[in-house]
Amino acid sequence: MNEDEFVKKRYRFDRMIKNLGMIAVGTSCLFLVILLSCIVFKASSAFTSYEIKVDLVNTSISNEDEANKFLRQLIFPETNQLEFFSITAQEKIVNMAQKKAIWVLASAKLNNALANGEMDNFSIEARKVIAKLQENKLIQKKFNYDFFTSQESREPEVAGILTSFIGSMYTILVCLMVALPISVCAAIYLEEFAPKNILTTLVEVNINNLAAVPSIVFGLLGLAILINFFGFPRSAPITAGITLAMMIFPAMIITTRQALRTIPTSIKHAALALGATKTQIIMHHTLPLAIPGIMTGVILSIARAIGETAPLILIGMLAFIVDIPQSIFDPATVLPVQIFLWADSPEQAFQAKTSAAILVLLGILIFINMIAVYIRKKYEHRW
Amino acid sequence: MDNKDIKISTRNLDLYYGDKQALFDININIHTNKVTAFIGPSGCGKSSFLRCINRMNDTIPDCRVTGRLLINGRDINDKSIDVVKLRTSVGMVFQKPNPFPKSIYDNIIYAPSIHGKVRSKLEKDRIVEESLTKAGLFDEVKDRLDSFATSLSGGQQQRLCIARAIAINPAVILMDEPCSALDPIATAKIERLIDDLKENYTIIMVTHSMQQAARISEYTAFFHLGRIVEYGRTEQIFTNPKSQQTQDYITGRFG
Repeated sequence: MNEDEFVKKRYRFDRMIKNLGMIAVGTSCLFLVILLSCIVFKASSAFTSYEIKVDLVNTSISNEDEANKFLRQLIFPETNQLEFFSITAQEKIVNMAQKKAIWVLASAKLNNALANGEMDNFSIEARKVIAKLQENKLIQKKFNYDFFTSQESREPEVAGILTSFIGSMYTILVCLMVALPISVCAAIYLEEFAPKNILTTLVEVNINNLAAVPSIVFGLLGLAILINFFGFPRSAPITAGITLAMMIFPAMIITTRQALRTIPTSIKHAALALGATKTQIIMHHTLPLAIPGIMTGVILSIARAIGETAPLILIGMLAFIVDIPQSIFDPATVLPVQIFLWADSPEQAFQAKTSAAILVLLGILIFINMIAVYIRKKYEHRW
Repeated sequence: MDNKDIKISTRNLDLYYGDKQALFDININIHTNKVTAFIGPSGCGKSSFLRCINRMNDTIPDCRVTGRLLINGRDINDKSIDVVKLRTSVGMVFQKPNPFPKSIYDNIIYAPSIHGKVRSKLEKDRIVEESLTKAGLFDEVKDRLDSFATSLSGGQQQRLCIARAIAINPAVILMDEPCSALDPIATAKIERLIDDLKENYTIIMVTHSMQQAARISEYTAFFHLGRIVEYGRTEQIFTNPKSQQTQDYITGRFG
C-alpha cells in the first residue's frame, strides 16, 4: 500500500514536470505570436499603398514644372496645393505623358489618412473631394511592389528596401569569404594538429571568450583598425563584412570544431591503419563527413551577422544612402540599420515601413535557418 | 629456428603510457604465414602490443615504446622507417567493423589509390574483385558495388574491412578481436576466411574466445599484466600449458 503511494507520487511528479515544460513552451509561443502579430499589423499599411487615377487625355506635359502645375489644378484648384499626390507623381506623368490615364501614388499624408481612416489633417473641402474620388473609384488600394524594388528615400511613400537589401547581401558575402576559410582552417588545426600545451589552451580559452564579447566591441575594433589604421572606406560593405567576420568567427571555430569532433575515431583509425597521412585523413574523411555540421554552424553564424546593427553603426553604416551600392567598396547600408533609421524618423508613414522591413529581415532569417535544417537533415548519420 | 620463418620478433620491448608501464620486456618471435593468437584478460596489454606492430600507438600522446621490434629483420621504430610505408605492409582489422561511409568499391580502392598503386579503371576493377573474392564477399556484393558499405550486415562489413586491408597486399594482418561484435554465423565465416588467408599472410589476432584461438591459430601467446606468460604452439598451450596461470586462464578459473 505504502509502495503504491510512492509510485503514484513519482508519477505525479512526472506529470508536474511535463506540465511545467508545456506552460513554458506555451508562454514563449504566446510572446512570439504577440510580437509577430504586432509587427504584421503595423506593417500591413506599408505593403499596400493608395493610388489616384489621373486623366491625361488632351494634355501635353513635357517637363516636371508643367506636371506640377497640372496636378495642382487637377483636383483641388482653389488651394493650389499638392497635398494629394506624392512628389514622384510629377516624374511619372512626364514619363508616361502619351498614355490616356495613369495611376499615380498618393501622398504619404493621404495614404496614412486613408489607411487609418482618420481624415483630421484635411480641410472639410478636401475631405469632400476625397470622398468623391473614392465614390468614383479613382482612388484605389494596391499592393506595394515598389517597397521591394525601390531605393531609400526621404519620402516615406516611395521609400523601399532595395538599397539596404543589396548592402546586406554584399556585406554577408564579404563576411562569409573572410570568416569561412579562417575559421575552418583554425578549427582543423586546433582539433587535429595542435599539441596540447599551455599556448594552445590559452588560444582556445581566448576563442571561447571572444565568442561572448559584445558585438559593439567588434565595431570599435573595426573603426580603430580597419578604418583608422588601414584606411578602409567608411560605411562600405567590405569594412562591414570584415568587422562582422571578426565577430562571428570565434563562434564558427567552435561549431566547426564540434562538427569535426563528432566524426567517429574508428573512421580515422581505419584510414590511419591503411597508411593515410594526417592530411589525407582530414581531406578524405573527417572534413567531408563534418560538412553538414560545419554548414549548419556557418549558416547560423551568418544569420546572426545579417541581423547585427551595433558594430555597423560604429563604422559609419548609419547613414542615409539612396544609391544602390555597385561594389563592396561603395557606401551602403544594411537591413537592420535601415530599420533603425526608419524607426527613428518622425514621419508616421515610416513606422509602417519599419515593421515591414522587420518582416523582410525575419523572412530572410527564417529562410536561412530552413537551409540549415535542410542541410542537416540531408546529410546526417551516414555511418 | 630458421630466420626466414620468423616474420616479426621483439627484443625487450617495453611500452609506457605516460608514467604507467603497460608492457614489460616482451620477447616474441612470430612465424611467417601462420596465425598467432594473443589471449589474456582485459587490460593485459595484448591490444597495446598489437598496435605497436603497425605503430598505431603513435597517435596516443605520451605513449612511448622502448626496445626493438623487428619486421623482416628491420626495426620499425628506426628513424629510417616511414610509418606510412610500414602500414601498407602491416594491415589492421578492428574490433568493430569500421567501413568508410562510402561505396563498397570506394572502400576497397581507397588504400591502393592513396598510395598511387592504381592508375587505370581496369586495374581498379581487378583489385576490387580480387580483394573481395579473397575476403569471400564478392559473390554477395558484386551487383551492388556502388551501394553504401554501411548498408551491409555486420559480418559483411567486417569482411569488407578485411578485403580493404588486403587490397594493398600487406605481409602482416593484425586483427583486434575481429569477431567480438559478430554473431556465430558471421564469426564462422570470418574464421574460415582467416584460415584461407594464412597461406599468403602472417596473421596476428587478439581474441577473448579460447575456442576461437584453439580452432584457428597455430601459435598462441598468453598475456597477463603486461607480460607474456607463455608462448608456444597452440596445441601445447591448450593441452599441456607449462604455467599454472595459463592453465587457470584457459580453463576459465580466472580472467
